[in-house]
Amino acid sequence: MSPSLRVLVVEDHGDTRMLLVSYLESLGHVVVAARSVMEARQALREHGAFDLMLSDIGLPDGLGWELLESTTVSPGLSVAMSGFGARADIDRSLRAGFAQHLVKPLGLPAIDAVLAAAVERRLAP
Amino acid sequence: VTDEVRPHQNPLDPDRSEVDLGEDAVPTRGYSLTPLVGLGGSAGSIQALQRFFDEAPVDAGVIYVVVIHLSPEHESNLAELLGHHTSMSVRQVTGSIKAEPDHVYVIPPNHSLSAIDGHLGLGPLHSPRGRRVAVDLFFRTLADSYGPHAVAVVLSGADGDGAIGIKRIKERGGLTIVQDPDEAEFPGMPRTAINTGMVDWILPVAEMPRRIQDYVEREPCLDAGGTSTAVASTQLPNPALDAAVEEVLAHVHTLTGRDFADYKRGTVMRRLARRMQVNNITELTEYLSYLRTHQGEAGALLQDLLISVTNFFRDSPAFAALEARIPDLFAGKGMHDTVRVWVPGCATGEEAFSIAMLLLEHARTLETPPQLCVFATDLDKDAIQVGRTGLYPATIQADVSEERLDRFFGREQGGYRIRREVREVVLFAVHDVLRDSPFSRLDLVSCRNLLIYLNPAAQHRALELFHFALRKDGLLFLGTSELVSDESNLFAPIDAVHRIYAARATARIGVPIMTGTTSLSIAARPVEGYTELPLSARSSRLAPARPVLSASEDLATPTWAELHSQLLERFGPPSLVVNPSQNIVHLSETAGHFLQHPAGEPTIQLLSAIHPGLRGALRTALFLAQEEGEGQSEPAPFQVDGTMQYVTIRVARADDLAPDFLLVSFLTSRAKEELQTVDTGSVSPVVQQLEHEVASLQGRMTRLNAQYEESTEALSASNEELQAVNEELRSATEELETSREELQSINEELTTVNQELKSNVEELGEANTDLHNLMSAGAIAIVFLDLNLRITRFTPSAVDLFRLIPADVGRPLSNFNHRLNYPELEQDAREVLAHGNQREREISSGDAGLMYLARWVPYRSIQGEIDGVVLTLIDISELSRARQELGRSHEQLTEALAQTEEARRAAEQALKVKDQFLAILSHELRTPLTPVVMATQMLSRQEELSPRSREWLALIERNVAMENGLINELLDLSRIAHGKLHLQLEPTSLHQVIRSAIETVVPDLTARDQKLTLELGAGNDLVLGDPARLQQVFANLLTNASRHSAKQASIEVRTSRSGPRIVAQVIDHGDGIAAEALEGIFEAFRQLQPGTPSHSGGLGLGLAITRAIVQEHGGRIEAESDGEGKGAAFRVELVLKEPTAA
Repeated sequence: MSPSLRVLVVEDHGDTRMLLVSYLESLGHVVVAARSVMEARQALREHGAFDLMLSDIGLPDGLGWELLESTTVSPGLSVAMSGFGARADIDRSLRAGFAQHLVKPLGLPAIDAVLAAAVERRLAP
Repeated sequence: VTDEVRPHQNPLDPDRSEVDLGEDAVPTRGYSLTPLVGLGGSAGSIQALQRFFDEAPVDAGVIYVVVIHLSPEHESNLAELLGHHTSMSVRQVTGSIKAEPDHVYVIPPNHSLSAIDGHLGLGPLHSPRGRRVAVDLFFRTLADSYGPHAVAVVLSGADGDGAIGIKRIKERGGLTIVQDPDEAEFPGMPRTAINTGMVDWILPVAEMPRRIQDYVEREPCLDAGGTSTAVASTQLPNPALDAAVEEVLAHVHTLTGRDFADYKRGTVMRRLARRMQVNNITELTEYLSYLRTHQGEAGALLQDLLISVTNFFRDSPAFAALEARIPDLFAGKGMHDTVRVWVPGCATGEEAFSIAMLLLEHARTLETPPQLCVFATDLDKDAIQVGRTGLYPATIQADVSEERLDRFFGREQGGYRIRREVREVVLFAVHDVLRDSPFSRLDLVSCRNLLIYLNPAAQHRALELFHFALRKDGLLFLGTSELVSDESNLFAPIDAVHRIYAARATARIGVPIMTGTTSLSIAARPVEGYTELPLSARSSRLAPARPVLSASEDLATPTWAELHSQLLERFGPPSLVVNPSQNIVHLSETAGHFLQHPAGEPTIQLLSAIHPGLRGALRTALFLAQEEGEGQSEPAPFQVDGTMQYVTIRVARADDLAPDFLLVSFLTSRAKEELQTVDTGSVSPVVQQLEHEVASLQGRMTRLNAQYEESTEALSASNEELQAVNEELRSATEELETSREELQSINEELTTVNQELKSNVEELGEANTDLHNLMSAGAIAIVFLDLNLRITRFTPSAVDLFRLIPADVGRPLSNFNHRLNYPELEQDAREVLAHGNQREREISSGDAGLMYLARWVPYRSIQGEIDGVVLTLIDISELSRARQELGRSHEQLTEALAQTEEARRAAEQALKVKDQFLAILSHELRTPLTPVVMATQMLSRQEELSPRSREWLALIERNVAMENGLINELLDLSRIAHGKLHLQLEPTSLHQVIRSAIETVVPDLTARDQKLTLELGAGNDLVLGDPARLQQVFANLLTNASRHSAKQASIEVRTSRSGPRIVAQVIDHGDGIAAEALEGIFEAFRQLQPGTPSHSGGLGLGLAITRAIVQEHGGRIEAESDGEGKGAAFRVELVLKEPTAA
């Protein structure tokens, strides 16, 4: 029985965000969704630390990299999701502090793997 | 013979003079000593020494002494340096020590080394004029002390040290060896030594020790006995040996014309033994045949026998003593007189020059000095030649004072040359003292170290010769170990220690007859009887007259013996002495009473001079004396002082006092009765008449005889003098000949110089012609100006520009009205003259469009001084036009370049935009795909789906995946087009890559029920690659294979090693590729079936990307197919990371 995680989903594409939230919630996790950098910052401020943050890079009011670099609250394990899959993009994500850069389209197995990693991180002493 | 007693310690002992003289020249003292090898060189000879000791046997029983020039400021580690090269003990000499065999002794810095009687001693080192003489000094002591047991080795060295020492070694019978100058690092010392002509062997260092050992071992077993004391000094008769020696000398005589019969046998034997030792021969007979068969050996033996060795001022104390006597030679000589000196056996002339220097030094002190003439003669032609040249090695500094070096020598390359002043005083001639006629009227004879080589008879003869040659009181100067026997009344010692003698004023004796080719013998031959007169008889004939002379003239107080004889003469009976020819030689005071000179020429013939009354009695007495030794006549009546007396004549032979001389005494008595005599009147007139005639005939004959003898003697004396004069003339002729040769050589030199000058002139002419042609050939205007800017030379092209004519040379350039727009012309010229720098200026000409480059260059003389200025005007009109055009082209080009650059930038910009567009496009395409994927997957996880729904979901998933693949391919292609396919290279197992790729295609294979055969045969599969990209390659190939094969078909994957590469093949048995399509299969947007892209589910980019990846890895990819429907094989080759590994 895996523990329930606090997950922040930052995604401006409505369908994707909706599907991600419902999938995560179907697995019993507590999900907060944000559509922009600003909303994400607000969520972080309001809800405090998360166990996992899944964030798009290209957002309406900024980039996911800037979000992670500027936040003072720990977003937990941070994973980037993007349609940009060039080597330079991936390197930039890792530099910004993302543990992983998933190139879209991403399927459920990839999300499962990220969740498993987050659980492990949460359970780690 | 006692070796230790030197002759000079007892110079007056006449018995020693004949035996001991020779033993000093070739000392027997050295014969019992251990051989000593002296090695001399400069500091640079250490390598040679090390090589020597590498080879030197350690048990040869030889002492080695190393003398080299060391730095006076530093400690020497020479002993240590040599110690590494021999197992013998090597030590630096620190004080007087006894030299042991098989030891090596080395000289310490700042000292000189000497070897005396088996001991090595140290002395202070003095270097005249900074020259190094340590080796010379050591060799000299070595020669004197070790004699024939000395071996001197001269090694590499820069100066000439050792050369003089080597001469002494050779003179004393030692062995002299010199390093081959070709091998020596510094050949100066070896060369100088070789030039002395005193070197036995010239060898490479490595050969020396063996040869020395042979030489040393040879000595004790020599059969000639020359070195064995028994034979050499006691000269035991040995007929066989004597015969062999005679034969050798005869051979030398035949070959060289030199007769050594007069040389001491001991000396000759030693020299022979030395030659045998040098040539490694033990038997004299063997040597004789060697001598006969080897050309040059006779010459070498001759050299050894002649021993042309001497130094300047040899035995300096003796020379100092001589110097004190020099003024005597000048006594009473005026401007037109000549001081005449003879130096027989002068060798290479050192002694003659030494004496000449002394003479010149004294002559300088005189107001009207007499002429000087020194005859220098020797047997050895080569030595004489050296003397004539007058060039001596620099090491003579050891012997000649600095003052004399400056005054009498000129420094030259290779040594000191005697100055002309001295050279002109000395006349050299080849002359044999014992065979050729002597010189005459000499003031000094200096014959040093020649007599010692001669046997006693020859010595005696030589002294007689010198006495003949010297004027009265002339000086004889002998070597320190030579002396004049006291028995001789020819010379009186003046300085017995330094061997200076004066010729006694002995009544003139005849000169001995010479046998030499130039001598008096030829002239004297017809005079029969002359040569038969023994010399001793001739001298003794006159000798008795001398004491009387000195008694009456010189001695104020006669000795008792003389007083006695005078008293006897006065008070004894009257007497007279006659010689064997019965000529009266002496009368007592009163003997004249009994004589009566007959009419005619006065006579001293006794029988003629006797009073006729006593003649008969005298005859009787003489007859009796001849028969019985003593005779007495009957008393004869004789009128003495008016009274008749009876006279008895008694004749007695002088016997041993004066052989064949007679004493005739007259005993008078008044006692008539005692004298029963025959009355003179009773003699018959016939007898009286006959007697008278006989007496007169006898008298005439005697007179004639006497006259004849006198004239013969006078003649021979004139002859002698003429001969001596002739000899001198011959020397003068030789001198002239030498001068002529010198002149010839100077002439030769002048000719050569002239030749050279001529060729120089020709070259100069050619150069001038070249210059002229050069100036006309180039169409360049050149004007040469001097310091005042006057024209000195110009080229034809300058004529036009400055309107010049040839006569303008010498006029100032400013006078000319040139066509150039060049107001600064003169200013430029002066500036170049002042600063010596170049200057260039472009100027235009008055003629339209002409441009010139004016170049100013200073004219430098051979000494490099500025002596003018050269103006060159080069027509650059064309150049100038071309330059303008070039400028225009350049502008155009720059513009074109700018345009191109702009275009390129635009293109780049466009490309960038395209890339961004592609990136954004793919991003935008991917974004909507994400929810599709997720939704599909979430749906497929629904359990209540019908099978049909699941099929459709799978269909959606497949198409989404395909869509995604297309997007990726598009991006990849874009990257490949820009070469931006960045590989993350790392050591990668290709097999692992293939397995991963297979995993990704497993769903396809499963769906089509195809079978995959994997055959990974390559042992080494490690490549440097990007694993993700490589996986992409194989996934693509496998996907292709699967898609183009029928269901249930089989696909094979194989790897193998091919040299440094690994080969992976993906083989299928499907559609195959048509031959015409095979070529372009890797091009982008290629599809086997155009128009139906969906069939294979790709844009046709897969293979293009695949090839790009493989090529980016440095590998290659090929496709093979036998045709459509016949399957295909794709072959990928990659370089192994470690191709050598198995």
